[in-house]
Amino acid sequence: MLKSCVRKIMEYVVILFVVSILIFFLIHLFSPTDPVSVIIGGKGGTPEQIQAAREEYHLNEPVWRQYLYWIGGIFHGDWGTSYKYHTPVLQSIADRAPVTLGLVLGASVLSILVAIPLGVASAVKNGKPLDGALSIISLIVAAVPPFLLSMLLILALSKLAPAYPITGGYSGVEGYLIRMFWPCIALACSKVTITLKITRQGMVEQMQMPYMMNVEAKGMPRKNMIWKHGLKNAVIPVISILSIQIGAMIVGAVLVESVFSLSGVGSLLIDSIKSSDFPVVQAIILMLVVVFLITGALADFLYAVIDPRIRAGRKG
Amino acid sequence: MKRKKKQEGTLWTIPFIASAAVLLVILIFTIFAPVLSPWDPNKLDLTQVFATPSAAHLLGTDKTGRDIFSRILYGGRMTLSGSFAIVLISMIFGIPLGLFAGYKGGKFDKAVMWITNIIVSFPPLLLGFIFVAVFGSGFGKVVLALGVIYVPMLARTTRSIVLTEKNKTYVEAAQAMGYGTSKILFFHILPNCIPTILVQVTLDIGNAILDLAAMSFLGLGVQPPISDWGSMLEDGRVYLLTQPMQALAPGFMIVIAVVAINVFVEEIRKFMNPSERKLPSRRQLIRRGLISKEVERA
Repeated sequence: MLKSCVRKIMEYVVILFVVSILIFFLIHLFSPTDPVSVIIGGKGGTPEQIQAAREEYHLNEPVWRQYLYWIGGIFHGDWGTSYKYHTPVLQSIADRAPVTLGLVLGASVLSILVAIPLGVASAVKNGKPLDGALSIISLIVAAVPPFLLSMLLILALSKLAPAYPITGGYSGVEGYLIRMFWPCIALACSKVTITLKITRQGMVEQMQMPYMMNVEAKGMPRKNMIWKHGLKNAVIPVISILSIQIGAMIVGAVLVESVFSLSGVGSLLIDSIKSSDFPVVQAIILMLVVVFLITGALADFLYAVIDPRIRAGRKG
Repeated sequence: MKRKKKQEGTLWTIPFIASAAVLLVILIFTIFAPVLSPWDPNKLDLTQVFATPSAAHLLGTDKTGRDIFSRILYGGRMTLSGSFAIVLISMIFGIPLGLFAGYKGGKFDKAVMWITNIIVSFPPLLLGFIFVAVFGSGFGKVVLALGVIYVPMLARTTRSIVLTEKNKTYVEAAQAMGYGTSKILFFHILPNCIPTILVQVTLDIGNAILDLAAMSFLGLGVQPPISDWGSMLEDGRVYLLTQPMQALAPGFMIVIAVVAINVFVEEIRKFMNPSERKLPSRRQLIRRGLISKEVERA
């Protein structure tokens, strides 16, 4: 167990290292925009200004040395300085993190709470009207892009509850929760369908297993049969899809944030891409890769907790 | 009693016909947009700003008096041709990659699988953002980026079919007759993979529409004055509360197109899997003389 953990961590470190090199060199070697024009804020600027900007951001040195500055700084909490705003990158990410974090966490919890029970219900009622209705609804919901759903929600809210704060600032924990509720729903809806489908598929398979007949013959209540025996076996593929889903949600958060005019990490990423603010772009992408790796590792860990077979396999 | 036909069951179910009809209508309207659209999509008409839907302007007009219906037809051209191009790029690279990886096996296969595994674990849009960050934004670049991002998925699908096909007798026969690898791959194995690949590819068109719309919505795709459904949504977002039609019309077009594609694919997939295929009803079987009326209901 310990050995495989260490190997896994080593693998992650290598992947991160490779990704950081790729991002940095791709951006600095291929991008058509000259960083100096972003730093000064336009094509103009006196030679002295250009020289000063180049000095300040180490742009005179070879790219590999710039990379070493960057990667060394990350370990010391210096994630670089934004070309456009001339502020520390770490600070602007930290300022915006609560919005994205809340959005992704809230939407994940919501989508799990909705998708798994509905998936189970749909599998138990396989072929009945409820199953049919759910599959039609999820077919349509899957085709609605998150930004369109957000707009529809805003439109509906403005008609039904004009006093509800959809846009603008907020203060305090309560304001934050009220403001985040609908964006979370918009984000969750777009990701519910896949989880539902996988849960349904797994449960349908489990319901046909011989052990189900066995526990039924022993007189186990149907509720226990479904929720304790069936779901426990059906949930494993759901976990693997969930870890991918969380990644997709971070990207979906970009779209939802922009419609609900929340300033989160996602909208920061898009703004920085548009304005060629490379230090911000590469920091956020590297951070997202770390988040993906962590969710992947968590999923692996959860498998082992839920499925004793995987645990046993690891030891051997 | 007649012998049972080899292909029993029908593809022509109601959902299939409906989705095919919707797709056909969308295709015709976008292909013949120059003929069918009542107005020039980029013609400004400041006397007709924010007109409500009428006979002249079926869906009303936008902030500069441009006809929304015409813009939807032309926007559909961009969205659909973009998604077709994305899928075409992924086919050009993905199918040969999958064929060779599956057939050759060994180190090449392992390397391809390892790389595609990593790429597939990231959401396509994030990779799209990285591409745009490196190479700059624009419709062509986004299409190229998404096309490349879709390659691993298709390569993996192709490879998985090749793995089951390559052990079949006809491949051995072709090898024994001395055909070269590429001849066996492209002329013998590929034709047997095509049905499954086509299903995957059609599904990818739906995903491509959504991803492309998202990129354009964020302003990374098409640049004005040209617009596609995604950028029309973004244009209309500002006037959402006063002029909802401007944002909702392109939005619903995206939803309808994607739903139709998904239903279409689902029905074809069901037909290809005989256990899920819609089989002839008892009455049809009796009429065709395949079973007698006296056969008891199961």
